[in-house]
Amino acid sequence: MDMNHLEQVKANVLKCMGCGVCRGVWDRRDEAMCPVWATGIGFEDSTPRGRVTVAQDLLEGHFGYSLPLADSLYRCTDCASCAVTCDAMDPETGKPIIDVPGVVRAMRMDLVENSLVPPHVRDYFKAVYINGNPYRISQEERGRWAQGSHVPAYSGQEYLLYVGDVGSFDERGMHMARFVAYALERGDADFGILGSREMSDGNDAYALGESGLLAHLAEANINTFKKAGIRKVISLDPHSYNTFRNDYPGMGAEFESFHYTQVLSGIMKSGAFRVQSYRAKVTYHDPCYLGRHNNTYEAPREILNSIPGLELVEMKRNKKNAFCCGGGGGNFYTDMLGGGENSANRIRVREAVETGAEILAVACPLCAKMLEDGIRAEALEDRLLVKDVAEILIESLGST
Amino acid sequence: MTETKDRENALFERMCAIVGSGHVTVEEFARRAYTRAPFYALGGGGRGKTPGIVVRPGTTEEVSEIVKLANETLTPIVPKGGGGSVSTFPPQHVGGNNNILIDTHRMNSILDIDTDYMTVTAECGVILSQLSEAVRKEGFHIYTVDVPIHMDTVGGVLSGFLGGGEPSDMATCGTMNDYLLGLKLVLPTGEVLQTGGGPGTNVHQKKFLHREAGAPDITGMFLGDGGSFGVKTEATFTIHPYPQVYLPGISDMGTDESMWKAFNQLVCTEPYPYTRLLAFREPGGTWYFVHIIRAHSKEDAGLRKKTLENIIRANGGGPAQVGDEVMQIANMFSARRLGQQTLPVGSTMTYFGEALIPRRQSLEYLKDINALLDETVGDLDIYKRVDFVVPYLRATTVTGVLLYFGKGTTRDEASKRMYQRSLKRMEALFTKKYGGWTETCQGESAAHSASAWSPAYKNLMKLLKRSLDPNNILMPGLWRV
Repeated sequence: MDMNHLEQVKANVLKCMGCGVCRGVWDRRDEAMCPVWATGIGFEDSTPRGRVTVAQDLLEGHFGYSLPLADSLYRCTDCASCAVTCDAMDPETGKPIIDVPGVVRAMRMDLVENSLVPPHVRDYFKAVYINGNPYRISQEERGRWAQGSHVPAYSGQEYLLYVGDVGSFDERGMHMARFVAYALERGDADFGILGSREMSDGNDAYALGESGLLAHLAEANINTFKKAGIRKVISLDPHSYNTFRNDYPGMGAEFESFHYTQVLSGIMKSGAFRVQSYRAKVTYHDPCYLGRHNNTYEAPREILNSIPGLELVEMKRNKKNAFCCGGGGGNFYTDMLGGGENSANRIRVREAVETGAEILAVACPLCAKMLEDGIRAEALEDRLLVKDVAEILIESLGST
Repeated sequence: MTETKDRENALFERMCAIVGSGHVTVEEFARRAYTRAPFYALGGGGRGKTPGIVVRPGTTEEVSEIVKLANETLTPIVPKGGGGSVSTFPPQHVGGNNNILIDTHRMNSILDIDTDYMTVTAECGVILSQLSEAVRKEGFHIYTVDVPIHMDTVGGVLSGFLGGGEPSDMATCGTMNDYLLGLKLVLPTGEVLQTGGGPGTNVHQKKFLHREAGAPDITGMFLGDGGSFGVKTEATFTIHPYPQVYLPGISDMGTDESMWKAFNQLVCTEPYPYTRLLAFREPGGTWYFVHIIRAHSKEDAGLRKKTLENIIRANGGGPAQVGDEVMQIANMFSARRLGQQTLPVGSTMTYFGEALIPRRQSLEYLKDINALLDETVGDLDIYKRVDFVVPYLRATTVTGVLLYFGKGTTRDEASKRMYQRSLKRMEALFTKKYGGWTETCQGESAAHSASAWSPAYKNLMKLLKRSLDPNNILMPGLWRV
């Protein structure tokens, strides 16, 4: 059985001492950081340590890849909490020796190459291959979110606003895309959108192990960007930001990548926004692909902290210790992790409520959707409202 | 679950009927994951024994049904908690083929925190950091192990690792089992037993009293039993008002002689002038004390500090002027004792060569273990090496060498070398010369410890095991007696 990708990370796998701290908690907190482990649904193989153990056993030939193993591996949300809880540090870099998310990705890539993917994952790949997006909606519909607004098509502006799949096709994401575009407009940012010329970014396809699909999508997007002369890209979605920043440069991309909160934060600092009082207690949820994967924690907070009257309160797990909403690693589309009382989004919503905040601020359309689902499941609609950072900013400007 | 796998394990359907199909697996990748423990190859030369089936019960009643089924089919059982044992678990010599591994993780509820009687009752699958945090939120403190607080379960730590582990303040508080009031457990026959003075020994009493109230301390028999006398499902502990004052400090103690005089004087002082105390040094370097005082008032903390400083000064020590390197070690040790998993950047911790030592033999042990490590792994890339001595109440210390391997040595390489070259000699050192392993009751180490039992003790243990477990179902062969 082919395990080329796992072989490539073998040295990494063998360094794990199996201490198991990754399956536990961080910084004397009392709850598991790994969203899979936190749900309580899994056996030991569902823990980060268990996944490395599985990798070792595969490499030693104790068993091969199988569909039941694929079910286990596809529960991981690629949140990278195991990378910050890892007890083993590299003597040179001070970073964790074991890149568990990378090991999981390698095994998923092998599963793809061995045609051993669960039906939900297969359906996701198929939809993206055929339609250019996982929603099975015509590409022509991509710019629908901007209809009726003044958002211009890209024609040489300083920035491209890349909206991504959820911002283009999901009602919640489209709502967020409109606020982000409006905020950029109010900040006099020079930007345009690609509409139907935008393709899926490939981040989640890659997280699910389909490197070929990422390459295919990246090639299409990079060509489009190059032809249009795009040099700077603002992503609505941290998933897009992650792959643009970390994967696309290796595939020929030559553009600068920003998350929209970074751009809005810069505009805020320039004084271009005339913010008014906004009386609300707000807590902010760090998206994994913006936070742990790309170390961006301050930009969204800088925006929120610049709004007079807004009281920003932190959840007990925040920044690099933030708990995942469950929507990463492709799980937003495949739902391999499943629901239940201790599903990641419900745990996270309970943490937000503990702060006493009435608004749960987000900076990712997938997080927005996951957390709104969590609020409904917890029947907390009257106590907590999910709002995007741009939406809060716009409301503080006194006009929507 | 594949049909083939179902057929392969005749217990599967019946287990599913007890706990639900989502909580049973016979998949090899899942079963083998349970054989992994820290330090990989140490102790048993590799991984623990692969179970035939893994089951995750959610209640005491389900555990009881599983144990009864095991008796009916004469299938050995291995209970497992958080998987933090540094000694191979399950041991290769325990349990025959296709044994049942009980994963207690689902039994993770804190059942009651009684702030009036100052007790907490928790299911035995609760992770210790969860227990500690739940109690702290109520303004109380519980003495739980420090490493690895984030993964050890209540049941696991009471069954292994000194039958209660090393709490952060073990220098003055002893082990966790000193605060245990009673256990609910499933005996090897499937019968459920509540131990402890109170509900265990007097059916009319609902509150827990001292363990000896109404009967001999049967609870103690199940501590450090490696899970072989019963499967623990609930435990009740005393809790204490949370000490608000925290006074950390570090002192330069100079040579062996001055450190050792001060150490012995401090350990014998009443009341203890510290809550935590540890001595450490890099080889050839000066000794340092890290001392932490926790108290309920500044006055109490101040008095203790004064006594502590007087003893240190009288023996030639004083406040330490230390650089980053020493502070890094001090912080790491303090953090370790606080339960945080902080390690100095630039290291890959691989080995604690620690053992429980009669206090007066601590420095002699350090010489022995260092010589052994020099001979066996001294040529490997070692980033840092630290000798340490931590008092465990008055008579005993946990003494050892902390080896941080550098990047030039993989954990696997270090572990294999430790096993191939060091283990037998360590066994002799620990068991025959100094009295016992730190992991006395854990997995593979249980047999090493049992090898030193007197004939009378061995006979009693055999008798107890036969009486409690006539079919030899729970952890059969653990002690190799």
